Amino acid sequence: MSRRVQLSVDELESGMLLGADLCNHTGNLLLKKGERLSDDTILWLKRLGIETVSVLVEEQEDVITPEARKDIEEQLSHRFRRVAEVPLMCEIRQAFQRYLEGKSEH
Amino acid sequence: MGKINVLKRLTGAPDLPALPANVERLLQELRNPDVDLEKLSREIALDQSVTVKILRIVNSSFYGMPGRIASLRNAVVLLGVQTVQNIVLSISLVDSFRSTIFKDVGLSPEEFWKHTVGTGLICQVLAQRQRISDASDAFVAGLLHDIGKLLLIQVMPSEYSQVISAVRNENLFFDEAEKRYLSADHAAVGGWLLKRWRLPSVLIESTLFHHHPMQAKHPFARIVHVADSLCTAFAVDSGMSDLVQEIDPEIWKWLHLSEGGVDELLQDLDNALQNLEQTVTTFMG
Repeated sequence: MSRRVQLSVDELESGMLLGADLCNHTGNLLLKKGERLSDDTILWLKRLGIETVSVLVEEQEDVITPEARKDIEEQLSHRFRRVAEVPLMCEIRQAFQRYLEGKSEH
Repeated sequence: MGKINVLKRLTGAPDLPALPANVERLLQELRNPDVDLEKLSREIALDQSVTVKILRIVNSSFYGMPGRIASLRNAVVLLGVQTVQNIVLSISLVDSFRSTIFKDVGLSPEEFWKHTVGTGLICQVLAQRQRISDASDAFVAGLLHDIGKLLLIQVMPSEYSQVISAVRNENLFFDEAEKRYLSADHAAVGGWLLKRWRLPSVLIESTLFHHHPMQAKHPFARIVHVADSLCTAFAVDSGMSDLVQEIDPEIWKWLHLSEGGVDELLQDLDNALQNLEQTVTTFMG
């Protein structure tokens, strides 16, 4: 599993995968989504004055304990109990689950 | 058992919360496009407690200029008339309900304001995303949305306790419980009060229609509708109900969230809520 994060150019490392198309300030495409960054590319982006870049980072598996995950799940299903059958609200609940799990990993 | 005629009770209530006379004058003054800043500063300075609070708020981290604004004139110049007007309104709002007895209905004022301030902060983020008008207006729209509940607690505490009990014990949404006991729900009551206070129609609408946002013309009702629900999902509720309400898929689409970006939004909202405690204290203090 990987997820997209917005990093400042100073945090970029070679080998990272681009999470979205990268355009310059005038809207011209610089790099395509999925492209792998090299040291040269990172240097080039810095010279162009690009500030932040979206990259894909590998999700570390099972950093969160099963108990913590279950805890978040229970709290969310409790709050979402009246809208449990609504498709959009299920999606939103899942987004909250992902977000809160990610937060408790840090 | 018949329902309580809410409007009759409200119009017959001896002590409806009112905006202080000087605040009303000030708000009128601020609506004047040719407002004379010097005169305005002197006008507000008439009421020291208002001035002190305004300066405390504009210098809090909320407006990103901590400790840099020394006078009211400065505040108007740096933040704009609109923002100062909203601050004055927010302060007066919290003030006019200071005498409301929350404990009779088993509620803490801190919790109540925490949910409405939290909703306001989320509204601000959503309004910025949608690039609509002044985002500090959206904050006030969020802050005001449940004002009807406060008015009902104040005017008919024992009857409204029944509503709150039904909400708590029977898993009901507020409007469902209110329908059972009252002739009008908290959204209608809130809209009624804001109309009486002669507040801008945008704010009346966003309060009146926050549960039926598609009926409103101005986008704030939609923003408040989503913010209210997400705020509860972030576990910032009023202490009366922890139920997340259904969000209208049309509005989700309007916010461009149906095609993704929800995870990023949650991060932004959580960041905005980091200042919650401090903002609540500033407004209540």
